[in-house]
Amino acid sequence: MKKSNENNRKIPLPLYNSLPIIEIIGNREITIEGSTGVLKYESDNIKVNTKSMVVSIEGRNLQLKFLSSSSLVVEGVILSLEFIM
Amino acid sequence: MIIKILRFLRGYVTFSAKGNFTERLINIISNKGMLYWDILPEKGGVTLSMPIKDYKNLHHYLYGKGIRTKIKSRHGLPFIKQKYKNRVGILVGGLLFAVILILLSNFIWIINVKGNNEIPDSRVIQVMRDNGFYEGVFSGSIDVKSLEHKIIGEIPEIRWMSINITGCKADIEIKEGYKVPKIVEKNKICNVKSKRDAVITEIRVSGGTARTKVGSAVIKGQLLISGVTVSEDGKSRLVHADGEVYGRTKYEKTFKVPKSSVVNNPTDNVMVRRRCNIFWLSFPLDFKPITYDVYKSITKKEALNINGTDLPLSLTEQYVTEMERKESSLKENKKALRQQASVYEVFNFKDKEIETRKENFYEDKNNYYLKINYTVIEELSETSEIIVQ
Repeated sequence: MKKSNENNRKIPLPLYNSLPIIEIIGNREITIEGSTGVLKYESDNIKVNTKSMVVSIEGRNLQLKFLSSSSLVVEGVILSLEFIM
Repeated sequence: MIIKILRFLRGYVTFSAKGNFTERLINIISNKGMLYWDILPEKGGVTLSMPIKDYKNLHHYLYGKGIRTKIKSRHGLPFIKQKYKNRVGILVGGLLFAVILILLSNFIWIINVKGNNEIPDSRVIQVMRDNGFYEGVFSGSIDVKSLEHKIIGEIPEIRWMSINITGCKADIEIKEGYKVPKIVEKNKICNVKSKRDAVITEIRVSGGTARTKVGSAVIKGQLLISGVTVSEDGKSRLVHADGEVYGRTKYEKTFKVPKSSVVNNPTDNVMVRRRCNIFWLSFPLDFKPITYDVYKSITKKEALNINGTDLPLSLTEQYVTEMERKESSLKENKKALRQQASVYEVFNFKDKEIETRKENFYEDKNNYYLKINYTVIEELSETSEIIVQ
């Protein structure tokens, strides 16, 4: 437990703020908090821009279920997730 | 559901956006806090729905971005309003319909009578009509409890009743009373006497001693069953004589019709006049005047019926048959005499059995006559109280 805490401390604290919070339910729904915009919107590929990276979602019948200025929800059959730094 | 209703009331458009980098459209509408839904990717762009107001503002933000929008469909009340802007009649008609519907729903249009076996529906409905409850009455003016009491008071055969008003329909539920049997006063000492001259055909004694037997001739007032019984030790006792005594009696009746009587015979000329009845209004469907001097009229009323319920929309057909007046023939006079005889028999031999009837036609200078001799089997017993001082 102690070792785990020590590992966490290796990431500088300000960097946490710029990282998106990503939550995946199976391979059917993905929630990204901290998005700054949609870069690509197609039914088989959605690219979402965040402060520190681009999240690329590949799959089938993908669509935006919810979208606000800082978060979004994508649903569909998610086949792969790629982080482009 | 509520969201769908709100969207409908505000009006919305479904449109497609195509051009270079249509994802910018998504980012614009999310950053500007615009409302949208059903955002779907399609070849070369996206389709989405948004309220009219936001769609109008969107053009301002898309200016110079190289994105073209095309409306696919328009939905909601503002578009319907726009479509029917110049057709005021529809609005007026709709409002009029609503007003009439609300107004007419305050009246009773259907009356159903249930639970009655002996009392005919028509009698109940007539009594209710006399007390101000009929098809077309304003339901707010009805005092149900008071009306129920009045109806029970006027139709004593009703033991209990309830008037249930549901919207425009009134269900009258009735429970009929039981017939009180004739009370035989067994303590009263009496004899049974004959009420007519007759030949006895059957005797059934349930109290007292028979003083006649089958085949005997009796005269009116003669003792049939005695209230005095004698026991084995020779002592006499007064009892309530009771029983049924049947006998063969004779009646004679003469009917007459004048020779110069005029009869109305129907001809082949029949005219049908129709009227339409809606609620309490009745108006003719044709304007044929009755041209016959003498006529017979039969009216039939048929209401529109749905699932066993008569609606307040009916058609009345009046069949008017022209009648021909002429001096009655012998055949017609005989028919008229027989009709008189039939009426007489129905009313006078109601509880009696006609055994034989012998007809005799004859005439004099002015009249035709039908004399009928009846032989009838009837109940003869009549109680006669014995007064002991």
